[in-house]
Amino acid sequence: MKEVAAITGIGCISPLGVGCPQTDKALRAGYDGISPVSLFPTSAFQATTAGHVPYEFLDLAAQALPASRDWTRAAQMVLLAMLEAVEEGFVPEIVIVATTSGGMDFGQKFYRGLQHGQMSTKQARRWTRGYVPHQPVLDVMEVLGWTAPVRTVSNACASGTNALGLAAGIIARGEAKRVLVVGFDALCEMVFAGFDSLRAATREKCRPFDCDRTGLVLGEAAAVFCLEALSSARHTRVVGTIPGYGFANDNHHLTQPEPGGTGPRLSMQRALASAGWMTVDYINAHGTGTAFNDASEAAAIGALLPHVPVSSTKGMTGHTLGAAGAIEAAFCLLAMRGAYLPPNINLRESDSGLDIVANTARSLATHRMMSNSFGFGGANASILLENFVRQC
Amino acid sequence: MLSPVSILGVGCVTAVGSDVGEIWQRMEAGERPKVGEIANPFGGEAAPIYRVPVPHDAGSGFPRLRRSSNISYFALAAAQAAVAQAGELDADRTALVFAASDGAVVYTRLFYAEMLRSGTGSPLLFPETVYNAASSHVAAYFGLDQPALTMIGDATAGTDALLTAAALLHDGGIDRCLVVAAEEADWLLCDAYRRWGLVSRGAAILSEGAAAILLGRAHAGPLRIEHQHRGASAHGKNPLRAALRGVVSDLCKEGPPDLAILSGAGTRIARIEQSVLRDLAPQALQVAPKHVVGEAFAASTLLQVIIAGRAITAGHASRVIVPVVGWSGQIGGVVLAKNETHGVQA
Repeated sequence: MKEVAAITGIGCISPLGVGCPQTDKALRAGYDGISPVSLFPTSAFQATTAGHVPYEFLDLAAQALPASRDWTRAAQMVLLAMLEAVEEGFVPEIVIVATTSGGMDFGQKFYRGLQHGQMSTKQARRWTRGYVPHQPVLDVMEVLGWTAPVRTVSNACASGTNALGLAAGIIARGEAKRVLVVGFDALCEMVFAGFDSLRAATREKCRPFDCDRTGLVLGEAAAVFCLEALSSARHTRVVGTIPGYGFANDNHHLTQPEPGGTGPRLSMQRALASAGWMTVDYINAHGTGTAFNDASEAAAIGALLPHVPVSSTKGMTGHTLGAAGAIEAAFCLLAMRGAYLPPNINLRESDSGLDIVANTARSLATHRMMSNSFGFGGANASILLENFVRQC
Repeated sequence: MLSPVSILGVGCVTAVGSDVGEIWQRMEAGERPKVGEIANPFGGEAAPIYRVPVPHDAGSGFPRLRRSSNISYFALAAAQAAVAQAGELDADRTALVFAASDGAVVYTRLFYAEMLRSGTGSPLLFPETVYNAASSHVAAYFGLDQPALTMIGDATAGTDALLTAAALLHDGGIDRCLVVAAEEADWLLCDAYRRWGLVSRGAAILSEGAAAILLGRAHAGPLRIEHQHRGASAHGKNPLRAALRGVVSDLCKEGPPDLAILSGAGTRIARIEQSVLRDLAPQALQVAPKHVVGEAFAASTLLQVIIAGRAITAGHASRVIVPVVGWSGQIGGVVLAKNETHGVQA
């Protein structure tokens, strides 16, 4: 019989908060975590805002581990999320990482160092080593003394959901009993410029599924999950399970989704089929706020699960790219435990035809949720999450 | 646990051509390609490189490749060769796993340089900078709607891709998985790796290119990847030698290999790799292809596997170990053997 992946630890950091309790409170309140970009100049760009993780959150990393004071934002976020997720005694056999921009910050420094002829040998080595995409995770693993192999998936904005799906598969096949999943991406200038160049980013509010949506706002986050085989997990620690996962590739265009939503519909269908489910209680949509993405996703959901409540949380956090699937899965688990549906903020009028959880959280006890993540390259992924009810 | 998988077709694009038999002959003869140089336009030392001609004909008639970076051409050319060798590809039953260490570094550099110069970068370049762009092009070329995943990291991204492919085959829904790894070289990479001490004229020379392997279920082909190690991480608290010993020891448990296709060439890591293999698999002849083909990270890893397969089919060996040590301390490895169950119904 197939083993079920149980989630026995969650750690998260995003514009909504550091740690699950603070995140849960902000998520339920519909907190708008978007603010003007302060990490780099934006005068040349159309967009000027992003979902930042506040500096005071990151200061906690140095308090927890003084050596992390010199680490990158990404590494500090990963550290805080890992320290929250991992309880004593959990040592992973495999680590699955999701990221898109990885160590791009170091790549930028290295290039500018060469350009200006101002780079010491020590800096060059540090920046080159730091460019390794999963280096933030390796840094924390070395501190913890873990020797598990690290596999890094970079499937654009579907990466976080892919990582959870791959990890659940490892547990299901009996390849390992304990797997750690880390999804992270920190804001960086080059990626910001990239989305700006595509005119995908907006200088307005991010309004997923709104008639007048004008684009996405970028964000940053990290989320960490401890996965264990349900049969051997200590049930007092189980916060949810991953009963299904679906992935589909569409070959329409490198950056634009197929308008009919073929890929998203197929990934959702495959996820449901893998669990033997017909429906879910809620869908956390990819919902970036761009005209094309939301229309394609709404078409797919409308064709498959037209009456299921839907929201995108990206109006609150911004689009956290490789971390999105991971942080949004964490949001689903927090919402299931708190018996509410997270709000889709900044919505005025929707053209989706879906039951959008508009602007304020909806109280509802739920047990089964789906989280969607779709990315460049036609990468479409959907993950199913189930609330774990302890047997007395 | 993961079942063994069989190799149905292979393809590669390297500094010494695309014929694996020829690569083997060059290795036997110790014949290296001409070392080129690549200059850093901001000044400083020029770096040695084994350049690979870009196979632009790979994408002829396929509009999506018009604006793509070299890495996509390398990837597609290797994938086409692997599929051609296998003779067929059922797009509805085939997944794709792509691996890269550095990805589309040329376009990434161009985009960033343009951004620094003019304040913003080209919308034509940015989409091609994402790690999974090459994977997307290859999937689109073959019309695959099954999973297309991209694994990144050091050279072990190649073994991670093989593990992921075996998992997809195990889970069902597909009968084939195309595994492709590709890298493109650039002066920025050369400079970075030279400063890090990973490549140099006296050791491994940076290269580029791609390798592809079409995998099927255990009984489907004459050659199989019998054992894939899930890997290990080496760092200050788990030194490389000890971590590598653990992996190699596991890989040798089911039988002693008579050949080892090494991942290192001329570096400190290579010396550790040689020493561990000498100790744990003393009967295995050691071959280091990177002396001849250069260092192309994830692509080189798949090329190691292809060379191992060639050694078996040509009768040079019956059981081959392929250890992989990456620059970020990740360790992986596989064992290849002749498939005694080829043709047997599962």
